[in-house]
Amino acid sequence: MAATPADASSSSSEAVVGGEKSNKMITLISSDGESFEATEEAAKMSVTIKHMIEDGCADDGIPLPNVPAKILSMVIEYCNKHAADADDTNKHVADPADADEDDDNNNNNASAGEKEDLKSFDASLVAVDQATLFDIILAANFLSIKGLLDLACQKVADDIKDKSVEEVREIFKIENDFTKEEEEAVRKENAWAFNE
Amino acid sequence: GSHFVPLLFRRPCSAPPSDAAAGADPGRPRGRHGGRAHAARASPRRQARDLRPLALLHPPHRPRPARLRRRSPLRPPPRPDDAVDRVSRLPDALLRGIVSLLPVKDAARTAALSRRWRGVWRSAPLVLADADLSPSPAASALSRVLGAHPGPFRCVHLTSSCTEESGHLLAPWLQLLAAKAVQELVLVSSWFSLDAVLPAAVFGMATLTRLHLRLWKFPDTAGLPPGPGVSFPNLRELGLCSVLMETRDLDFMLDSSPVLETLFIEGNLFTLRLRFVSQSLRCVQIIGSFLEEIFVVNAPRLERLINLEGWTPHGGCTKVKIGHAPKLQLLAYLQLDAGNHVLEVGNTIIKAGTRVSPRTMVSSVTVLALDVRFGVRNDAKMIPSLLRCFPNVETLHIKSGKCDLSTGKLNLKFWHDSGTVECVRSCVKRLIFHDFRGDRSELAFLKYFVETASVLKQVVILLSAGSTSAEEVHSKVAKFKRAGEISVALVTGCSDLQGRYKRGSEFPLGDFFFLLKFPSANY
Repeated sequence: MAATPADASSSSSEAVVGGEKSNKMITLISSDGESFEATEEAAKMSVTIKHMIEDGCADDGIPLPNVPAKILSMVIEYCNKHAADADDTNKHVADPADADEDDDNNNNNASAGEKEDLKSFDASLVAVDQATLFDIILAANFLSIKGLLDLACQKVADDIKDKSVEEVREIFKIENDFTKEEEEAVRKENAWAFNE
Repeated sequence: GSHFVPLLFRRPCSAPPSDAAAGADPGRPRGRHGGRAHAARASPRRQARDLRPLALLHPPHRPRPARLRRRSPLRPPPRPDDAVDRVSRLPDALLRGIVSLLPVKDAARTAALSRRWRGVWRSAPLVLADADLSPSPAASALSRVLGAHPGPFRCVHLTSSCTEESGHLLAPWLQLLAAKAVQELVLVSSWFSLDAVLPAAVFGMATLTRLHLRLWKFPDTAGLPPGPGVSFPNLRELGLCSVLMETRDLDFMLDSSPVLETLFIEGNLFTLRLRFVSQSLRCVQIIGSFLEEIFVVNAPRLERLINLEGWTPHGGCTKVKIGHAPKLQLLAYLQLDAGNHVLEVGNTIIKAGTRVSPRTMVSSVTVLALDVRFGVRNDAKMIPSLLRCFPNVETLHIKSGKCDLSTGKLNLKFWHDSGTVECVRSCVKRLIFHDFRGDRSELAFLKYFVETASVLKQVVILLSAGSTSAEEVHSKVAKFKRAGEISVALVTGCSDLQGRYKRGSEFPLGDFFFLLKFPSANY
């Protein structure tokens, strides 16, 4: 891990041995003023935070005005789990032939048991009420944590899949603001999608 | 005393377990309504929650940042039936992202949800699998969708639409896909006849990043102009599954794909000699195909060369020639056959007894797999010479091939007499023995290996179905010298390809080759 300019002068950093993982803790401050700590490695799962660390802005804690404490603690939990897992590398080089380019958290080196753990962790993380789920989406988007964003968006997609338009409106409280003519026009445009 | 810990696994060869239901972890606090409600926050100095070990409060000596608003100590649990439409308030980019995760019909229907949603599907890159269009085969619905969406097309999987009846639509579809900048395309023919010729329009899809073809006859590339207007400037992954093509067609594809990293060939029906000249290729995976020769002429970035489950006509075998491949790390399987040339390195054919020299070494390889019939003396005798060409092997896979007529068993003395093999002595850390039957020759080799390999840490023995029993093997292996210093795992019940190479096996996947699977739509 490259040393940032801040490392040398910061009193809160631990010794960073060249080439090895830093054990440095990063402080993240939620919108409602609570502080949380996470390892640098976990924190860097957020591209936004990663850039701030690399730019040396992270020493006094990183304020995250968009992320409330409840959500931030869940985000950190996700990052911890997935950073720890991604770190479980054996000596073999990460697979260049990875078919899942979109899968950031592709843990080639995890055993089946670990992968099951991770899957059930992910599932329970997003098994929350809508308000929380959308807060997670917004936070993951703001913090640029692709894996978490994909996970949460997939949950929303799963709730939409195989449902009629009326059912989706009901679930998400979407108000139908079409005029009758507009709605007819939309349904006609994509008639192939509506024949159930 | 021995630290030999026998481990017996019954490998489940059935489908992987379904996703655990939410709330699988009993240790997490669950609010009344199933949400992740926090417990009481009575005091400003909360104790760190032990369930979230690293989400600690900052140490007490640091000044607490000011709170922006007061919060009551007991937070009410969230109401799941809160009547706010949050989804529509998400920014466009996120809505598009969500819609593109849906099967195409559901995605298109979101346009009717509200005015906010009307344009979302069309403005998101199209993700389409024709399996989601009904009725199936759905040629007319497909034409309508391809026409309705303005593009770009991120991912299109046509697995049922390409029938003989819709054959006349294929070239127009491909042209439409090209016009709408398709990135990932899976094209499976349902003709099941050699008349299913892929239209030349496929070469017009310059936006492709991934292309997988199955059950086609490749168009003749001889008539195509090569050169500066390359056909596939963005193609990173190419899969050819039961595709009838000539060697020069494959050469054409490689020449036309300057950034191709992954090549996947399966079920190739006709003999081919593969030549790899590619500045970009990193992984080649060949399954169930017969190839006379695989010649890595010049592939400076090639890291993995995998040839699995190939079948060879009687008397044939696949020759692997390594030219310039300085980054080759994984090479699997070399099929040992004393009657044929199996390996050629830098213009030297490697046989039993070939003198080792730097020119004949491929020192970048750390994972090597050999397919050897222990019952054929001359085949097994090649092992030391071959291993000497790979001085830095850390993980060795040995697959025990069946042979009808055994020509004599090799005993321990043979192996010791064959001289030191440097990588065995000081490099190999992991040995994985596939299709182990418990024959004396196999056991002799195993004994030699375990007793000689001084840095060996782990042995995995995959037992061939219906041969010896794990207990028998255990008891024999336990008697080897050094058996106490290594971990030995025996795995039963995995004789099929899927069982062995399924992603997410019980062992770290570094021990097994990661297999590319023929892609299915990812939702």
